[in-house]
Amino acid sequence: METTKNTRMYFGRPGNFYGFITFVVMIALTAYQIIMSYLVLKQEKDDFAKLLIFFVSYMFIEWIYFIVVGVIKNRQISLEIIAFALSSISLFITASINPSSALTQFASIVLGLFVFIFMIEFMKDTTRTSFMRMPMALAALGLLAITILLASYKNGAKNWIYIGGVSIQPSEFAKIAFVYVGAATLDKLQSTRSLTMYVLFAVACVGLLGLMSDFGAALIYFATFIIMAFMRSGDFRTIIMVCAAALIGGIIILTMRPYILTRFKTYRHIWEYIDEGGFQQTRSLIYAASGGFFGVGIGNGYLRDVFAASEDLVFCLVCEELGMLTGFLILITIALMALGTAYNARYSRSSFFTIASCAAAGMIIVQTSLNVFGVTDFIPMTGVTLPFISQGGSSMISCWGLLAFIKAADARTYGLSLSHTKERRQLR
Amino acid sequence: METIVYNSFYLQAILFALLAVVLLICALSVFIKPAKRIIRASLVDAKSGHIFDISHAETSIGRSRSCDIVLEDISVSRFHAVLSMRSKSWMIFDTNSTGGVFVNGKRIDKKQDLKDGDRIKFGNTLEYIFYSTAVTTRKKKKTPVYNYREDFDDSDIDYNPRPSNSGYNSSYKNNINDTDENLDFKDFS
Repeated sequence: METTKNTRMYFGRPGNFYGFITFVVMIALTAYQIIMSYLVLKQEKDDFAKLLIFFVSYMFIEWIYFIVVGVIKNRQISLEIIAFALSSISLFITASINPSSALTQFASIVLGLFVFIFMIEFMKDTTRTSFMRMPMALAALGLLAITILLASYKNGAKNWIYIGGVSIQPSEFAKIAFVYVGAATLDKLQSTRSLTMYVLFAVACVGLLGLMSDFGAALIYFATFIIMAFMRSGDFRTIIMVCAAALIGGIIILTMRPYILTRFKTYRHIWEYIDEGGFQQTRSLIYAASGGFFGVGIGNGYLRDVFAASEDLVFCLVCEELGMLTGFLILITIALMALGTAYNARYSRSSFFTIASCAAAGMIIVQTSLNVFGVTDFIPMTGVTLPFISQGGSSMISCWGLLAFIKAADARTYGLSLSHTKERRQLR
Repeated sequence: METIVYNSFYLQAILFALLAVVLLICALSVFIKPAKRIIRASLVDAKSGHIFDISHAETSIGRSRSCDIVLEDISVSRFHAVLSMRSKSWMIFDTNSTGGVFVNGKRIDKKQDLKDGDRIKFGNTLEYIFYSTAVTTRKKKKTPVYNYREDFDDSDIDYNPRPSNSGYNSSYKNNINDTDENLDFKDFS
């Protein structure tokens, strides 16, 4: 089968251009993290030693990954570097606002990295990957069902489970399973061209999320379902019918449970309820603008004192403390990552990875849009996190898991050659 | 009232510049720039010698025009089979066809591993020989009529041998006969 010799070489020979660029990028990232570490640590006297250990360990893990995967295994690690950079911003923000949560955030980043590595290795075998679709479907439904049974209401939604003092949001992990189930190899797509089973599965997931009152997550799942349904079948008629059914279902639910609408009463009226329902969004808009191009500096913002600043309002917090340009840079990076996924999907070694990567990228884009547009009052706030940036262990692990699908679709990940026929045999 | 000392403007600008270098370079390098086409395997018509070059890791075969390899035979189903490159070997999948898929004369159940030289038959069609590499023949290759999803444009293909210093062509040269003018092959250097 294909060997690694045909992949783009990064450190295969001295003076390799791509390898040099990757090394320069790692140096720049480390310099950024060293400066940010200094700025955070100089404001933290009580937790100085603990935070220093976290920051140094994090940079150490990055370099170990770079050396092992980028240099020794000779793989491209651009996606991982993006994830490391964005995750480090979340670590610095969390450490700055709430040092006691820095351990959880650091642990969740490390755990997310392990999930990423495990998924990449697991999906190396397409047959095994395809075989696990049914267990993953059961896992997704099981996670959501457990949440309904065991979770308690928090901030209007029933999506948190507490185990040993640690809060877990199973619907975040179910995202990985949801994408996994929706993707399929070409032989499966050609054998079973009907979408019925997948539609039923998606309806069950979205319905369970609706029962949890987690409408933000339900919207993300629904959008991902549309992407995957289109990629699997290309059947516009079915998709339009499903969207129409979803709209009718939503209207019926709102008719039966009108109190749901009260959650959105401040939408487009945040300045009228400036000290009530619109408190978070008005402060977010004011402080985000006050940051200017380059921000007031980490730890110097006012928005950090507002509830959920490092979770739902993190985009505006980044704009205030790190600058509006940094905020938009993050959005552009996520958008380019999604575009790159769509562009690379055609070269993937299986339609499973093509569909999964596009779905994962779509999920990240939708989640980013819901967070940014919600906090800026373009749409009602739905309480979803900003991928890789928001504080939250479950969200961080889920983002790394989705990144694994994007990485797996890149043909270079598994040594699949992209140029030149390996050998040409002459028939006599 | 506590006075907040903001970080230096230049320090914040440097932080942004460093982050921009990291994120933009990595985001742009995600886009792959592969060569136009790579041949991963071949199906050769056992009778005529016509070659179907397999350039995708998963190739659909059937009577439908949306398939990668279109076989216009009434015994071939619209979506008859899938030829797939898996981690250990190539495999052929029978995707609920009516006429069945036969490998070396035996009808397969759902899927079958393939090895070099296996003879595959779709329904009542002629036999095709599977090779897990690209092949050439001594006969002049006919332009394939239905071979790929994309439109086949051979205007940029060089049918004459061309010396090259690349590692790939150095092994490639061992497989060709430079003195045989009837040979057709493609140089992907």
